Amino acid sequence: MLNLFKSKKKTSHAKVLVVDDEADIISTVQYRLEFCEFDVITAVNGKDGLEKAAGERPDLILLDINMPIMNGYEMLERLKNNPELKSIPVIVVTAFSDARDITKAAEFGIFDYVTKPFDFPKLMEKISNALGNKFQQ
Amino acid sequence: METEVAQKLKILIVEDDIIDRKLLERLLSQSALSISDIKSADCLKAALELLDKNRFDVVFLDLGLPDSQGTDSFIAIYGKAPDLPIIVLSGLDNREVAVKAVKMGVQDYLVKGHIDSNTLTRSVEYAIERKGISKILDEKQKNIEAVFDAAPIGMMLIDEHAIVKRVNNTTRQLLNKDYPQIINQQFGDAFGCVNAINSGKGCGNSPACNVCPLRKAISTVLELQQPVHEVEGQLTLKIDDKEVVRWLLVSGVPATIDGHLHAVFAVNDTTKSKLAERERQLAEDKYRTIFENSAVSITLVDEQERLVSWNKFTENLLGMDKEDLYLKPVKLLYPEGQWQKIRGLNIRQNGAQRHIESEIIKKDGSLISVDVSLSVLKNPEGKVIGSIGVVADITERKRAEKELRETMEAKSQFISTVSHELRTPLASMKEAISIVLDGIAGKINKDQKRFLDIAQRNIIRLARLINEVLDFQKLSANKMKLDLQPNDITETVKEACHTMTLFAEKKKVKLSIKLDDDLPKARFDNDAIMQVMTNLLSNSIKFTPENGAVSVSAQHKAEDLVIRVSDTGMGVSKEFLAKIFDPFYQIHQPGQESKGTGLGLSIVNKIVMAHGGRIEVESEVGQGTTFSVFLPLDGRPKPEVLSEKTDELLENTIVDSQAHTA
Repeated sequence: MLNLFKSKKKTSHAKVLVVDDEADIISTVQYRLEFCEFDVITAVNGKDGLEKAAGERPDLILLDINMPIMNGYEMLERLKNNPELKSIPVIVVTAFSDARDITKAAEFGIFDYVTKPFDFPKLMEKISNALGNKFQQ
Repeated sequence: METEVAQKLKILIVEDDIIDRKLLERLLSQSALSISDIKSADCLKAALELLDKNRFDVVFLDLGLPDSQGTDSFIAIYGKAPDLPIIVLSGLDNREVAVKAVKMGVQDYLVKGHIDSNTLTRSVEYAIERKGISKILDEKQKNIEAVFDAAPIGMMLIDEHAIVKRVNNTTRQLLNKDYPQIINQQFGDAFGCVNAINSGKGCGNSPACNVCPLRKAISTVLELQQPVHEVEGQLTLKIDDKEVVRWLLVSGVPATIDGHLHAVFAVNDTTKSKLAERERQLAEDKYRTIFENSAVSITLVDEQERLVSWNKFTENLLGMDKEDLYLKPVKLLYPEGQWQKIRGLNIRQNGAQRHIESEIIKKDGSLISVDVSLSVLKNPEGKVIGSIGVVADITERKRAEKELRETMEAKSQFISTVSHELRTPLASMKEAISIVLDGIAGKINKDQKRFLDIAQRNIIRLARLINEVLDFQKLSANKMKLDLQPNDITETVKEACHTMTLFAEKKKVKLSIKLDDDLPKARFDNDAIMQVMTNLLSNSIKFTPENGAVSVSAQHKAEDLVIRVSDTGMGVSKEFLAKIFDPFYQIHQPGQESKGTGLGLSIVNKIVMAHGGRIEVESEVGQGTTFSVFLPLDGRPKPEVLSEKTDELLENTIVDSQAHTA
């Protein structure tokens, strides 16, 4: 395991919205991200996620697909149809490993994806890529 | 005849009475006959000796000789010279014998004491002429008999009492008997009819004789005096002590011969053709039975594509009867589009048998799924005279297939869903433990780390197992799409080895790479082949003891890239080798617990095959194992294979895990 993300050496003020209906996923991801000094907002479904995105204007969204009330696809579609929100990069974090599901999400415009269970260093790498110069090590 | 008479005659007189002889000689010399020589004999013996040495034109024979009496004298002379005209000399007292002799073939008789030269002349001339005519008649008779005998059809002459009087050679051969065994017997006895023999009373006396068509034919000719034409009958004959069945075809006419009614029959042995016909009939019956009782519809269509013949099943299948079907244009049985497809096969041109799945319209208008098999029907000259359609109802099969597809789909969906559902909690567990292990949530001690490592390692293993099950299910359902791009195998192999380095070091196994220079690029899915390589490598490393070696090589051979992974491990016995690519097959090594799904090599094999390649394995127990992957340069994916990116987790964690078994 890489040692890169074990310590609190990184500083960042990027705001990340984590949308997932699994409380345990949110807890662990949030803990990790906050440790890396991200501002973390959470939402438990697509509808909640859209509202948080509109209200909080995050720099990045980590989005689950399979959620009640409004799933990830629908949220993505609405997000990308909203001129004010469409530029927010989205990384899909889903247990759906089937390429067709990823393709469906990709059609709406996503930055990247990881499948559950993921490796946190890999996810961080993608977050880092998505944020570009907003994320400084 | 006249010319013969005109010649000078040589005459023999057989007469013991010297006075009678001299008288005859004088009368002859006074006659108008031109005579060159007259010889005399006073007994039969002397006459026969003269006949041996000389040729005569006519013989005068006294019936009462010292060494022979009556007709015996004539028979003796006739026996010696059958062509010689004989004039018998009789006294008034034995005139009756002379008449009898004439009936037997003597040309004339003269009564002694009543002969003058004129009578003599006329008698000699007539005798010679009659003998000549008789000879011609005899020859004609012989010719007719020869024709009768040689006729290639059996001939039989039956008298008014149904007694066989004569048969020809063909009939004789048919019965395989000599003439005496045939002649002068009742028809059935002559032929060796078993009914005639068994009745003990001969032909006509067995109950079977009452219905014997041949017996009846003879009766018709003899009793009604009417001809019969081609009456066929079956007889069981005893020929050479064996009972054989013979079919006889007879035609007969009444004929008067020697003043008596006879029947002349032509007898034809039709056994061969009858048996052939019966065999044809049997074959025909056999095929008709198959035709009629088939659980498929069989239809015969004429040149105008109209139904002309069909079996019972056809009527049942379509719910139609004979009136509905007879001369119905066959195209009306199919929906328009389907008929076009059938016509498209163009079997009349293409000849061979063709299969097509179609639908057929029942009488009530409903459609049923059918499998149609079509063949052309040609006459013996090779001209197409129609076609034969075999139509099987496959509604049930279609339904079963659909059900199976749905079941498979549901199973596939179930596995997919369950696997996905397992991943989410696994992700939470893995992340939670990582946070603690990484020390983010506070410092942990050595033992805590040790046990959390165990938990972490098993979560990763569980994740990998789920991935394998998913991969296998996708490969099995042909749902893995390959992203075929020109790739450099060197890079892929190096990267795979790189990810395996840690695992190899941990196991103290030497990992070496030997790649040929200038390997051409090949079209393959990099992630998938990466998975193949890491699987093969981890497998080899796992089964190689400490200080062993695993080597990877790559070569270009013909149309393939050949990548070999060899180890100096424990090897695999032949028995296990055969099953090594079977799904869920694991080799249980002593003291080693199973730590995989048994899907790894099965997935590897499926991925390689999906590229149009193949994988071979050679192994020697105690020596090591070599896997050879033959990857075509121009990868040919199977159609309908959908794609998935290889799960990154697998690539990253396989080093950490205990590699799975075969």
